[in-house]
Amino acid sequence: MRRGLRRPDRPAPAERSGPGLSRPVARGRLARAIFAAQVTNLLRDRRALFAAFLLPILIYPILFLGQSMLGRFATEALEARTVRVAIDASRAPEAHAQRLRAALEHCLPIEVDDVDASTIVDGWEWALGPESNDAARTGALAFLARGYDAFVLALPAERPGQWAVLTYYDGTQDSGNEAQRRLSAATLALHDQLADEQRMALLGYDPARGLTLSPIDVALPQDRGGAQLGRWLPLLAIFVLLGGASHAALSAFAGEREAGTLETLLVQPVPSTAIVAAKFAAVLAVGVTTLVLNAGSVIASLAAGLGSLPGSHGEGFALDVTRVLGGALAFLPAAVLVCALLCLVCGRARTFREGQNLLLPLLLITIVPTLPALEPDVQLDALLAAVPLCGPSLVLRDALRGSVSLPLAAWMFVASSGWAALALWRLARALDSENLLQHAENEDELAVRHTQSRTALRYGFVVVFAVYVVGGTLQARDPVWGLAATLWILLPLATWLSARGTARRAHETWTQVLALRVPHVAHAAAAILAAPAIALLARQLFAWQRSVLPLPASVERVALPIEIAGLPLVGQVLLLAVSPAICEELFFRGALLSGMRRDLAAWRVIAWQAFLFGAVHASIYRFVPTAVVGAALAALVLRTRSVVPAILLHLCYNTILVLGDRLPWLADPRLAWIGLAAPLLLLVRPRSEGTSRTVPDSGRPSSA
Amino acid sequence: MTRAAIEAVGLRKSYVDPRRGRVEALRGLDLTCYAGEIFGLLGQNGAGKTTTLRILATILAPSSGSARIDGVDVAADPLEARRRIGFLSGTTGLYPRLTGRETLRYFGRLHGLEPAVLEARINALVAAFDMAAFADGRCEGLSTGQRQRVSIARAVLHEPPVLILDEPTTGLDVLASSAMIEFIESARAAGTCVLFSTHVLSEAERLCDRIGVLHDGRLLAAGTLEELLARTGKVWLEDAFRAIVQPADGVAR
Amino acid sequence: MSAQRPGLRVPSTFRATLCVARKELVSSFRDRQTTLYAVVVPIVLYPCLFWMMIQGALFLEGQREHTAVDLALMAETRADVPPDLAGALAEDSGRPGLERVDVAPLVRPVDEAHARELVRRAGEPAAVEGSESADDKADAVLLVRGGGAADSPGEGAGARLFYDSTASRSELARTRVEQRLPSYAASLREKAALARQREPSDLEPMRIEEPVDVAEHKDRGAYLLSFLLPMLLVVMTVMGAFYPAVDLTAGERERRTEETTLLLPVPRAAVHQGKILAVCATAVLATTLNLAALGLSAGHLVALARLGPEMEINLPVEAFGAIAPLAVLFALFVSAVLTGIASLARTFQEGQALLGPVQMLFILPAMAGVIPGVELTPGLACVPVLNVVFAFRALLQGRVLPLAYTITAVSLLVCAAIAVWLAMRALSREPSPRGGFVSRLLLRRRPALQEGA
Repeated sequence: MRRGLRRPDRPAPAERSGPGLSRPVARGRLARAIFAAQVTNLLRDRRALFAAFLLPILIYPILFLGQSMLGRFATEALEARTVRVAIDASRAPEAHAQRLRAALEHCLPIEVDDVDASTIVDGWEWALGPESNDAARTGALAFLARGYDAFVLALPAERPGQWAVLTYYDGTQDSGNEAQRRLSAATLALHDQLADEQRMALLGYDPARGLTLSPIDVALPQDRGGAQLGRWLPLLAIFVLLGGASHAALSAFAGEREAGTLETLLVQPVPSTAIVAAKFAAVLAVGVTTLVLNAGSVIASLAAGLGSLPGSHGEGFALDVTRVLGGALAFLPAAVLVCALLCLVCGRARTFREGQNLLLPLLLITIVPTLPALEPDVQLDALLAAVPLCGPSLVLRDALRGSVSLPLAAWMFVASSGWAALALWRLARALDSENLLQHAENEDELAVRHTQSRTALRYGFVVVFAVYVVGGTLQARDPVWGLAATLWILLPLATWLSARGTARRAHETWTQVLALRVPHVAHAAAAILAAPAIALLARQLFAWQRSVLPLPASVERVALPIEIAGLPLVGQVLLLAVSPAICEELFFRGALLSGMRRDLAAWRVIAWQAFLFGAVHASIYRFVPTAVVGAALAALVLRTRSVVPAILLHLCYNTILVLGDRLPWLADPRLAWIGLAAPLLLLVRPRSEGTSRTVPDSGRPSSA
Repeated sequence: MTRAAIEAVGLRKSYVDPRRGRVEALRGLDLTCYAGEIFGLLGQNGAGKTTTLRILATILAPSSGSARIDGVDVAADPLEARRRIGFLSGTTGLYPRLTGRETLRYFGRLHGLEPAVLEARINALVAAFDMAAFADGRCEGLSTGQRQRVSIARAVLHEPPVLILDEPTTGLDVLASSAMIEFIESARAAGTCVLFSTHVLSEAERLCDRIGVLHDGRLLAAGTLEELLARTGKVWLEDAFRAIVQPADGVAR
Repeated sequence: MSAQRPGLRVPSTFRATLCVARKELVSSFRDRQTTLYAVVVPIVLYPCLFWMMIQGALFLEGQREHTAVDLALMAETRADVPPDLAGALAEDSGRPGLERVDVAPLVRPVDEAHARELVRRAGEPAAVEGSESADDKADAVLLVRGGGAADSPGEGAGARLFYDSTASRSELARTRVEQRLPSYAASLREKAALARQREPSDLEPMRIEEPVDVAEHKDRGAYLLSFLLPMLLVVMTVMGAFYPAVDLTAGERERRTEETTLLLPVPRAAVHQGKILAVCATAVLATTLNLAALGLSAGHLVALARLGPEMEINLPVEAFGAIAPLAVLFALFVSAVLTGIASLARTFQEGQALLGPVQMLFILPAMAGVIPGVELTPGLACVPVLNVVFAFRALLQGRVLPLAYTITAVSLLVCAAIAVWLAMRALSREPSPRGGFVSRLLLRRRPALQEGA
């Protein structure tokens, strides 16, 4: 094999057990031997060594230093800038005008010029009030055009004795923003001073003097340091683990396969689980070492005061060692999980490059659950603790800031270890020798066999994306017509394209692909009767979800765009019930389901349908309820072998949602009891394929 | 038969290997091949066969000495020389993501063939090498034999007067290598000079008009099969080869 | 002889270059991964990213609104506490039920150490939930002194808020108190003024209006983008050039097509230029798509997040047009550097390892693009990478700097020329004659283990 020659074979570690041994060698010893060979091989790769070990030690100090220098440079550059300010204080009380000017002149370096605003815009009196905004803007622009960074105008206010300060600046210029920043501080200080004097003069005391607030942070320095580090460390850990261990994993699996040495290893008298375990251990060792070095370098740089992490306020850095150790222990299952995933991904790859291409998706998948740790407001709870990577990240963060809840941490440890064990089990199973060598062929074969479902899934994702982007843009322009266009143009187009492909590949007609068959009467009835129950279920789910996922007031307020709510009732029903029922069902339960069910098990079809239907609604708040509805609709179609019951159910369900407010009996929970009849009706066997009458139809989904 | 298609005089090639220091790959090689003949270059691994062929194909530049292809000096005018040779070796891969036809079109265009002429030529080659079934599939999906045919077509696309083949049958199955041998014979019949290297002696015996024995960077012997056998007094080429190479080893070490 | 053959027209170096570049482009875009990363990812990535950001922000908003925090009031006497302070702090007046602050009954005596202890205890984990009573901890403690009646001493009056900056609930408590306390103070003053038959406004001789930003809405959007897009321009150019640079050099070796390429009957220069050109084209395409996708989806984001009419983000087409020549020169510079360095590698993997640090050389300086206040001076315009960043920023902010622009162009042109020259030299390094394996073309010390026994 020519490929194998490119990289001469490594000595197969199993050979070390020697030819004289007749007894089978203990699996652990074999694994250790392979592990040693793997690690030796990696250590001899000087470039990998450099990237994994030397680079972090060098890069973080440099990075921090550079960042703090840049930051200082930036502030100095702005603070040293002379801003030019035009001021017209002629309409303010003379004494106050003097003090205003004096206050401004304190914002050094600054040039303050007295100007007369009335010379700019002839015959126009500057005045307060919203109607004069545009004119004031025009006048201010004239000043700014003369090279001033800001224009300050003092005007008599509506109330006698009161005057107001207006500041105009150009927010798209750095110096304009800087001028505005300085002026705001100066005018605010003057304002407080004047108000204080006035109070003393009028009242003789300040009624709110007990309310002058001075915040005192009681957090210890190590709490602050830990909190800072804890925010960023999980993210860094994922990057470093994937970066540091990916080379090891790639060369241990994909690289060796490419070089042909994997084959050499697999023909040795060693159980494949030992090989996999040893390789995994090598990957984990490299990953953890890299992680420790990186984290150590970061901590050392911070402790040396070379710089600060984003979001900190530049105070000194302190850290509690026991917290770091505790956090490291808590994060260990996550490291195991990441390395196991890495091995799984690299084990699937035929070549080094293919393996690398899979790394980016892996990175994205693993990064997302660690992101919550970035946000201090996300609190660890039993649910989040069980989420792989998310739980360990949050525990690591809390441990570093010294506020970890031990029961939750223990639960996280159990759950994460479970996830890691699952990944390891998958790894051991997926990488038996046959898979290792012939996986590529299996993959190709699977891909060919699953063309229909793969294409359907691809369409599903494209439509979810298109509805979000295109539909979202259209609806932002015009809610009514945008929604109509999304439902009646975008979805039918996708239905047509997807169903055409499925029909061509399966040699079927349109009506067969879209399952446009007259359903059994019992099934149609079941669909209609089930609607109130499903609506009730969705409502309950939504209510339950609010306890986990509180709905912000800003979302609650804009439930329905005014344009749609203003439509007559018929219009609302057409737009929100009839159209989605037909268009969404024909795409999701017609075209997509038809493609999926050809080569996926029923539970997978339902799961995918639920996911896509939930995702297309593009809101985390609606995901669970819509996914449940999607699953129910998919199951209905699979059972009845017709899309029509799904359309009926969807129609009734949406109608209940739309009309629920006006016709309360529709939303009455007692109505849901009639849904009990649905399962019984669904027991009726569907018509068999052969004797089915298809709906007389020209074949175009849009005409359906 | 009298016109020299390949003329190499005093070729030397040395390079620096970080581990072995200065390596002399060729130590003064003289070689002449004529149009319409098949010249076989025999030698052990590392004897300098590939280096020689690569210098002749202008992939490497000689350290000293000169080589002419069809009268064109390879060092002075490598482009013109390249237009006169078709080169093929086990390591001349095909661009995996181009189709066979696209590969041919690409090379033809760079050779400067007019579009109409090029298309006609490609069609002729597709027909001649029986490639119609797979000429429009990407090269990465082709079998070894199919790839070999595309490679040959690529090498002879511009109708070169000289063909340089580096171990052309290595790694091919029986049918593919016999097709290769047929192709070499047909090229000779068309008056092309074919220079090829091999370590399969039977191939050399069957095909070659003349055989050269390369060892340690020098051409130790060159001549027809009969001449070599006569010179060494052996009956089989294998024995003759050993007789030529082994005393040289003794001298060298 | 062949030159005279009919039907043969030897292509010029330029034509050959284009021909090579075209083939390399076709070849790389047939690679699904390249297409995926250069075309599909930019289109899909930003909307998905923004979707996640919006949903994440909504989620946090919901969580924050529904989190009730505990605040303890600490004062010597009830008289020290202004009337109805607890009521004023408890709820956001506009939105009942949200952002609640549960104010605990008065804590006495005034003791700072105790206040700290209360806050710290709230931050600490409870060993078992509910084992401690809620009374001995608080997310924040408000210590009020001397705020009572008019005749109480003014000395040492003030409110101190003890909070823990590392605990999010405590931070929430602080924000809420800081928001609500001033308006409550204002209402106290108003009442006092009214009690003396004074208009409340008499207490405020000076009013500060909200500063007016006179910039157009779309200019504000462009200003925002001007801190983002220049950096992205550099990052995307480097990322876009990275993969093809390795693919066309080390990858070619790995696929064993290098020898085939060396046999092309055109000057080597044409082949090398063609490769650099192909890399450059990919980089330009990836950059354009990314910038356009980001520009468009940023507008989408603003529309979706309902930031209102304050800001309008449009695709800054004019700035794109103006930066295009510089961007192309920059892409050429980057492509030449990356291709040249990648050509030193034997395998794809090694090429990537080599280019990893190199790309940082471009990306790290580009981070400077987020610094406000740096102007493109003629001196800065001489520094490659930085000049293109700041030129783009100036253009996005609507400034035209003819001199600096010209210097930037010249500087990039010179850099690109030098880089191309060096890359061509690197690319035309002679393959080693040893052995038949192209992957060994460039001999370097290999790990002994890999050499095998």
